[in-house]
Amino acid sequence: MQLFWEILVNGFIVSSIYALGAMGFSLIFGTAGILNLAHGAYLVLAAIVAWFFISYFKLPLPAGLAIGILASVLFSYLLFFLLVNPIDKSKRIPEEEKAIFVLTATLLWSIIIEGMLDYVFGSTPVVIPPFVSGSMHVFEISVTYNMIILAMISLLIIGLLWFAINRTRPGKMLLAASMSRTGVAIMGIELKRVYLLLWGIYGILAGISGVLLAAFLGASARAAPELTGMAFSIVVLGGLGSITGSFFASYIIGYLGTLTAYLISPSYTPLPAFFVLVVILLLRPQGLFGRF
Amino acid sequence: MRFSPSSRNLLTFCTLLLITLVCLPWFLSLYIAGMLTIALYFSVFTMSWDLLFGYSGEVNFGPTFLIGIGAYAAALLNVNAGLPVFACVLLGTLTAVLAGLLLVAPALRLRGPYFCLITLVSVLVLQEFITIFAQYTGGEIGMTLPGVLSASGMVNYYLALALVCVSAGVFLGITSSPVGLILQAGAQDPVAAESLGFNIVKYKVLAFSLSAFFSGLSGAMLVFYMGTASVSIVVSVSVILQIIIAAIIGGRRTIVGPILGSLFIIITGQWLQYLGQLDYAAVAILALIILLFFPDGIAGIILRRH
Repeated sequence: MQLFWEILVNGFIVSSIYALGAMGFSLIFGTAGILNLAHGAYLVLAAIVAWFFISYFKLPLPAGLAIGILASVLFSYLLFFLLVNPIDKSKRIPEEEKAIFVLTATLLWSIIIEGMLDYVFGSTPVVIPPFVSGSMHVFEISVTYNMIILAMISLLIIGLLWFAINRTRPGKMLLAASMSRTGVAIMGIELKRVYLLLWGIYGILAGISGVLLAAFLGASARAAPELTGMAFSIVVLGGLGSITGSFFASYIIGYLGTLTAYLISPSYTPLPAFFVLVVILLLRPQGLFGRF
Repeated sequence: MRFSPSSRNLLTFCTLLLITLVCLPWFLSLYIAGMLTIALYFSVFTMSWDLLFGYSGEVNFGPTFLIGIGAYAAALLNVNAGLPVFACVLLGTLTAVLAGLLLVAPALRLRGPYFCLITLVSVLVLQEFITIFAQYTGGEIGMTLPGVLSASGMVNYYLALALVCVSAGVFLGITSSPVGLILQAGAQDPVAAESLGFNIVKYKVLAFSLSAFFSGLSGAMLVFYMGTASVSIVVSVSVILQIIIAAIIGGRRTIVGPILGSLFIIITGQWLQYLGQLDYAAVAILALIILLFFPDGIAGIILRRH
């Protein structure tokens, strides 16, 4: 029985953090049609910058986290202005090949970020200090308050995101752009502004999930591709471009991983997720909640 | 705007490239010739990828699925069954072709990003399997092979060059024939191509088996040249990245471009090694610049029609 509760509670916490981690990736694909293969690098970037300011400049935790998130936003805009926008505007790249060019560019961008992080901060994994100390006993197992706080923050931010997208004007602009870019442009909304907003939100989301992930599992530049892969699996399972789908898929992937780790062996953790992915891609390529 | 080099330009260029590659090892140290040998095997990977991407329109994000299966099948047969090198390479190549046929089914069903994903996942699964069956495959470290292609560096270099010539010949022959046009038509509008009476499935199977054949063959020969088979040489995601980057900066849809791209990426990689940890980032920055400002790649710059 203890095992059951442990899987249930740990799976829930892991899945909630994964869910937040996949949100930004899902949003940017759904709205701009871009598979950002540097996603993992953004998570790690925010985490390492935050860790650096907290442990070297002895900044208080919230200030350090804010700087980490700021770094992620800054790089998010850099990606947009240096790579995504020029490729989108380029007349020399055929229209139907733009997607693969952007994909390759984000892949290269990821290598650049990882290489620089490795060079400047070293490759030892960093851990963000716990937000609160202490632990509590529930259902025969002990859970640290820190883990509970992390899961709560994740869910809170996902809730806020949901509210912002479905209930506010700028959010509706994003939603509309994800359905039809031309339609949005005809309604007199400047697409450039939509993209600026989108990449800003993306940077914030990636930054927050990066620091939360590092507070839970730690982070190192080497882990970036693995994190991108995780976000990838979640988003595909949920359906490319569907935020609700990504949310539920995180729990499926999170629990599958936790189950495997507890019942078989931690080293097999990613395998069931991949198998689910292959089956889903073959039987229902649009994913569980996919729109297309 | 489509880039298609005029055939005379291309012929002159290929001849020049071939003469350079044949003569090069006479002037170079053994170390550099060894590096070029790896670059040559690597360029076969890249050309095979270009056949699928440039002509058949399939964005294969898992070229190392085919390469890795060919290489590992050959290596496992050599280590565990003790078969001679020649038989291992042959059987490894056949296994790779079977793996290539396995990819045709999703390729026919899935479009765009979905096919990218499934190919990428296939590599991750292969990597997991290699780790799980570590007692046979050597896991992360890889395995040392008892068999070698040849002890002489020169023989190895010319073997690799011969493979490059054969595969480039086959690829150029296929792509400049009507088959190449049908492949491109199938990539751009499968429905229209089928309604003209072409059996797209047949041509896709051909493209995938050719790509898998040469990927597997080159992978198997590469591990026997290196003397070890490991994930970091023939399977890992960084190998995939190098292949895709090499094809794009060399010039996609040209077959010759990928050879240049591969030589470029391996040689600059070596030159930039003194940068230490920054070497990958430096290659990536170079590749990004080429990608943004010269989307037709090195071959596009050299073979541009005036």
